Amino acid sequence: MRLFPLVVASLALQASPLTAREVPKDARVFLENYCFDCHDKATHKAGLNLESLRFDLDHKKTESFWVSCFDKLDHGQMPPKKADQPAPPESAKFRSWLGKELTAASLERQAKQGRTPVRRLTRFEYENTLRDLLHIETELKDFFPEDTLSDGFDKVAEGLSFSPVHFARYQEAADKALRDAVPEKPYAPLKASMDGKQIMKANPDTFSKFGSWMKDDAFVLTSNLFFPYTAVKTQKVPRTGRYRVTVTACGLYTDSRPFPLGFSLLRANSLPDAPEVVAWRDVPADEFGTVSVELTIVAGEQCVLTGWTLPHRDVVTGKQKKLKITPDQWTEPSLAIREIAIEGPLTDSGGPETYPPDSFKQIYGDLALRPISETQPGFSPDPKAKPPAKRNDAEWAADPLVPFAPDPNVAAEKLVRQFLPKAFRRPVPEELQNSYVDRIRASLTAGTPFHAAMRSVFKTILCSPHVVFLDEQPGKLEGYALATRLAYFLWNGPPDEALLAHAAQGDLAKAEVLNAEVERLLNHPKAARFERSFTAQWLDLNKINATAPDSSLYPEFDRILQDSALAETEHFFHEILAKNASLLEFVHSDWTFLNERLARHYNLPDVRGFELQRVSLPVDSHRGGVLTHASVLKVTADGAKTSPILRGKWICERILGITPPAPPEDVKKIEPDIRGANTIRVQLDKHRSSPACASCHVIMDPPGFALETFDVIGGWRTFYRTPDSKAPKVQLPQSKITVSKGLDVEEGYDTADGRHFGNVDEYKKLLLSEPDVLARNLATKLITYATGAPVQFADRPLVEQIVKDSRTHGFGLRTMVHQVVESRVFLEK
Amino acid sequence: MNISLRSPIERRTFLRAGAISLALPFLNGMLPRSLSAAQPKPVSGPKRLILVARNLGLHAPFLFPETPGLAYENTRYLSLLDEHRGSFTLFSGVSHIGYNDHKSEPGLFTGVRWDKIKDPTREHHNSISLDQYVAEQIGGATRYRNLVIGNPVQWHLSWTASGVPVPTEKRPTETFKQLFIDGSPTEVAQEIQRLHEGKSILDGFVQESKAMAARLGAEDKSRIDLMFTSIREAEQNLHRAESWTNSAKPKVEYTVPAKDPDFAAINERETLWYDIARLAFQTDSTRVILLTLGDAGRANLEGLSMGHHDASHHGKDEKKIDQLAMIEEAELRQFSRFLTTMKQAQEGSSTLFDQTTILNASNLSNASAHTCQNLPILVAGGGYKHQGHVLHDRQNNQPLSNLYVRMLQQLGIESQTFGASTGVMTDI
Repeated sequence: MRLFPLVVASLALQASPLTAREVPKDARVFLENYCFDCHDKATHKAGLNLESLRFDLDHKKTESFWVSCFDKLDHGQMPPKKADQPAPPESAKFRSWLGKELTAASLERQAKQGRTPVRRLTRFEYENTLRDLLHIETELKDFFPEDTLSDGFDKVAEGLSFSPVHFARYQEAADKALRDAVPEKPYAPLKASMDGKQIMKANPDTFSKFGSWMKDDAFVLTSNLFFPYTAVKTQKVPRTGRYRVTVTACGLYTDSRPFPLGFSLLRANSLPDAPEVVAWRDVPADEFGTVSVELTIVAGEQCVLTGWTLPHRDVVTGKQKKLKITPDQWTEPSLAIREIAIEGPLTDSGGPETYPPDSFKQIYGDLALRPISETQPGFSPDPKAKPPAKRNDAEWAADPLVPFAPDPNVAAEKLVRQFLPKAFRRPVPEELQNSYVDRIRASLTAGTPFHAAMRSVFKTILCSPHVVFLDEQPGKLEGYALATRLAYFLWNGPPDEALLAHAAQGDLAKAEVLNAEVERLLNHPKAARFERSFTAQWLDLNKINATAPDSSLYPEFDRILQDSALAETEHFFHEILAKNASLLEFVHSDWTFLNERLARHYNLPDVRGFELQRVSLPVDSHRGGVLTHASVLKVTADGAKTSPILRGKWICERILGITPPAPPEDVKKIEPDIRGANTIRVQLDKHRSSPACASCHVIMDPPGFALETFDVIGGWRTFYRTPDSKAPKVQLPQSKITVSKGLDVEEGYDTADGRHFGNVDEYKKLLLSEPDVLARNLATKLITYATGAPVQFADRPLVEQIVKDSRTHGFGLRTMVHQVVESRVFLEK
Repeated sequence: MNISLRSPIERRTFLRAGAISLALPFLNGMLPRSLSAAQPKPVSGPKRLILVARNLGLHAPFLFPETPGLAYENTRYLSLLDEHRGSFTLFSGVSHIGYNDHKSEPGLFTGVRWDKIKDPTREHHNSISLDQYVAEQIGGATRYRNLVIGNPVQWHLSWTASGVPVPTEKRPTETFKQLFIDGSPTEVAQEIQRLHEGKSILDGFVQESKAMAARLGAEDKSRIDLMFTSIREAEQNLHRAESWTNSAKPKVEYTVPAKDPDFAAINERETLWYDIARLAFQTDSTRVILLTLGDAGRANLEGLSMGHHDASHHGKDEKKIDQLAMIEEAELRQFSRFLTTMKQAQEGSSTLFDQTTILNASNLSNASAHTCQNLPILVAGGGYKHQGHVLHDRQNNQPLSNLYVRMLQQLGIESQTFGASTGVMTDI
C-alpha cells in the first residue's frame, strides 16, 4: 500500500499558516482504490494529482478541486464507466464524509471572512447613488471603465477590481454631479406649448417644401419627422432633469390604424436625419388624442418627434409635385398635430419642481443662491447694478450663481454633518464627522470661498470609501448594511429614508418588516433598474447592439424591430415579477408582449400600434418564453449566421445553470476538420468525433439545435438564407421582401442523455419536465446578483430549500425574490 | 476624414503648440526629409514601445514561410508587408510554453500563465505586463506614462505589478482629446484645483479604508491592501498631471471624426488608432502604448459574410478560411500602413520607426483549434538587426518571454528576466 501524504507541512509559499485537515482511513482507502489509477503522481490525468493534493480546504483553489471531485462522484461521472466502480454504500459513505468536510470548511470561511468579499459599487450603482442622493439626472456611468463580469454579473466582488483609473474617475464623476446640482443661473421651470400654427411658423419654408400644411388648427405632415428638416421640437430645457412631453395629435388616412409617434432626444452631437427614438406612443387614427412621455433631457437639449412610418421627404414631395396634388387631395398616411407641450423639471412624484431645485437643497438646505460677485467679502450692494434676472447667458457664465451663507463656518459645519449620514447610508461617528468639519474649516480659514470649499468637501464625501464600498462585516448584517444590500439589490441604488429608518429602529431583519420592504421596493419605479439590470445581464441583452445584421441577408431588419424586441423581454420579465407568475414561463408561456412590428416579424396575427401589448399566442406559434424572443435569438447570433454551439452554450449557462466543462488539459488539441460537411449538423457531428471537443459539445450543442429554426434576428425559418444571388428567391410572409434560399433547416435533435426532440416546442417540453433545474438556476442567479457572490458549497442545501419551497408556491418569481432576501446568504455578509 | 500621411510635419503644427509644449530637441519633423536623411544615424534618443495585440491569431498557412532569413519566400500574408522586408522579423516556433486556450489572453504580455498563479483571494490576479513594466522604467519624461487603448478585449491585457488589470480606453476620439486638445484657461485653473483636491481626497480615502479594513477578515484585508497599490499609482498620476498642467498640449494637423467609428468599421477604426498612436509618439506625449485591435463581430468589409470569431473557428472549411483571410489581410494592410507612417516620421536624425519597438502579437495561433503554440509574433522597427524570418523549432517552441527580455534590453532596460523567461533571445 502506498503512503498517502495528505498531511504535509505547510509550505512557505502560503500567505498564512494553513493546517491541512485529517483524512480518515476509510476515505484514504476509497481514493486509493478508485481514483489513484488515473489521478496519482505518475499519471495525474486531466492535470489532477490527488495523491499530492493536500486536503487543505482553507485554501480556496484546493477546496475547489475537492468540490469538483465531490460533484464528479455525485453526478456519476467518476470513476469512469470502464473503471472499477465502488459499491453504492461505499460511495455514499465517502461522499457523505467529503460533503460534511466541504460544508464545514465553507461555513467556517463564511463565518470568518463573510461569504461576500468586500466590494466597491459598480459604475451603475455609483451613478444611481449620486443621482438619488443629490436628486439629479446626470449621466455618470460613462466616466468609468466597464466593470468585469464575474459569474455572469457585474456585481460580483471578484470582478470589481480597483485600477488607478477608478480613483481619478470617482473624483471627476462626483465633481460633475455636484456642479449639476447647483444651477449656474436662475431659471423658470419650463412649461410651454406650441399649437399647430406655431409649429408651422417655426420653420414655414422647410415644412412647406417637404409636404406640410395646416388643416384647420392642426399642423399636418406627410413626410417623416426628422431633424433638422421636418423636425417638430419642444423648447430647449433649462436644466438636466425629467420632463413630460405631451402631444395632441391624430393619424390621418392610416386605414384606421394608430399612428406610431417616436420621441427622440436632440443632443448637442446628434447627426442629421435619425436621432435615436427613446419612446413610442400610439396616436389614435381619425380623432385627436393626447399622449405623453416622461424623459430625462440634458440642459440645453430638446425633444424632437420622429415619425418612422411616414415616407422619406424626397419620396413624398416628388410624388406630390409629379401628381400636382394639393393638400385637400392628399389621402396617404399623414400626421396631424394640434399641440406639443413640455413641462419640467419634475420631482420624483411627477409634479413640477420649484426653484431653487431639490438638488441644491440636498446640499445647501435653505441657503440663498446669489451671483458670485455678491458673495465676495466686503460686498455692498450697488443700487445701479443690473437686476440679475435681466442678464444674458454670457453674463451669467462670468458671474454664476453660488450659495451664499452669511456665516460660512456655521453653515458649512451644519450642512456637512447633515449630509454625511445620508451619503454614508448610516450614522457617522462623531470623530469621522469632525474630520470632514476640520477639512472645511481649514479650507475656509485659508480663504477659499464658501461655495468652493463646500464643493471640495462634498466631493471628498462622495469619493469616500463609505460611499464607494459596501460596508459589511462578517456575520449577520446589521440594520444599515442590510438596508443597503436590499436597496442595491432591488433599486440598484442607495437606501431611502424609510429603509434607513427601519435600520435605525433595528427591525428590518424581522420577517414581516423585510417582507413589506421588499414589496415596497419592488412596487417603486426604481425597481425598473433592478429588472433592467438583472434581465440584461442574465439574458445577455447588453449585447443587443453588438452585431448589425447583414442587410443583404436580412433586409427586413430595422432599429424599430430591435427596440421592440428588447422591450418585449423587459415587459415579459416585469410581468412575471409583477404578477408573481411562474418562472417556468421563462421557458414557455402562452402569452407575450408584442407591437405591430414584432407581430409581423413573428408572422402572428396583427397587433395595432407600436406600444407593446400583452397578447395570447396561438398554439402553433412556436413562440412563448424567452428562448424564442427575438432579443435573445439576436444576442446569440453574429448578424450573419447562427451557431448551435453559441446558442447551446447560452441555454446551458443561462437557463440550465450548467457551465460546460473546459476541455481536459492533457488531451492533445486536435484541430477540428469539417471539410466536406455541408450542413451544420454534419459539421458538428464531425467536430465531436474528436474526444477533446466532444466532452463539452455533447452537452452544449443539442440545446442549440432546438433554436435552429430561428434566424439571426429571431425570425422563424425553414431554410437558411444565402448571399448566393443565383439561389432561388422566396418572398417573406407579410412582406414584399424576397430573400435567396439556401439549404433547408433540419429540425430536431437528441439531448446529451439521448432524449429526442422534434422541434423547439418539444425541446421546451423536455425543459419543463425538470422544473427544479430551472428554479435552481434562477435561484442561483438571483443569489449571485443580490449578494455579490456566487453560490458556495455550504449554500447548496439552502438553494435546494428555496427550490423546494418555490415548487410549493407554484414557482412564483416574486416569491423567489422574497425567499432569497429571507435566506441566510442574504442576511449575512 | 483628413488623414495626413505626409511626414515632414508642417511648421505651423509646432508653432501653434506653444513654446513649452514639446520636448522638441529630438523631433526633427520640420526638416525636409532629404536634409534629415543626410544626418548621421543617431546613437541615442528616446526609445519607445508599442504592443499591438490581436486575440484571434493569424491563419498560419498564409503567414509563415519555410525559409529562414531575409530571403524567405513570400507568403500570402507576408507579401502584404513586402515593402518592409528587412525592417521587421517574423518569429516561427515561439510561444508561451504551457498555454493552451482562450484564457491565454491575459497572459500575452505578462508571460505568466494566469491560472497557474491565481491567488485565491484575487480571482483575476496576474503579474505585471510588459507595457506597464517598461512604462515604470521609461515612462517618466512624458505627459502620459503610457496609454492602454483600442478595442475592448474579453480579458485585460495590461496589468500592474500588483496584478490589477488596467482598463482599455476604447474611444479614439477621447484619446485624441486627452492627447491634443487643451482646456480653456478656466478649465486649466479648475484642473489645477482638481489635482490638488485629488491628492487630499486620496489621503482621506486611505485613512478611512484602513479603519474599515480593521473590522474585516483577512481575505478582505488583502483585497484592500491590493487597492492601496492602485491608490499609490493614482497619486503618482496626479503628481505627474500636476507638473504638466501649465504646459499646453501639442497641436497636430489631424481631423478625427465627430463620433467614434463602429467596431464593425475595421479600416476606419484601425487607421484612426494607428494614427493616434503615431501622433502620440511623434509629439512625445507618451513612449509606451498598448493597442488592442480586432473584434469578434462582423467587420463591414465588402464580401464578408461572417463574424471574425466565427471565421476564425473555421474547422478547415475553405470558405470560412477565405472569410478569415479577408479580415486578416485588412488588418495586415493597416499594420503595413502604420509601419510606413512611422518610417516617414523623422525624429531627430532618425525616424520614429527606428526609435520604436513595434510588436504585433496574438495569444492564439490557431483559434480553430484553440492552440497557442507557434504564435504569430512580429517585431518591427526599434533599431534591431532584423532577420526577416527567424525559424525556431515548431515542435519545441522558444519562450516568448525570452523575446521580451531582448526587447527590454533594446529599450535600455537592464533586465535579465521577464515573465517566464529562461534566457534572452539573441536572434535580432
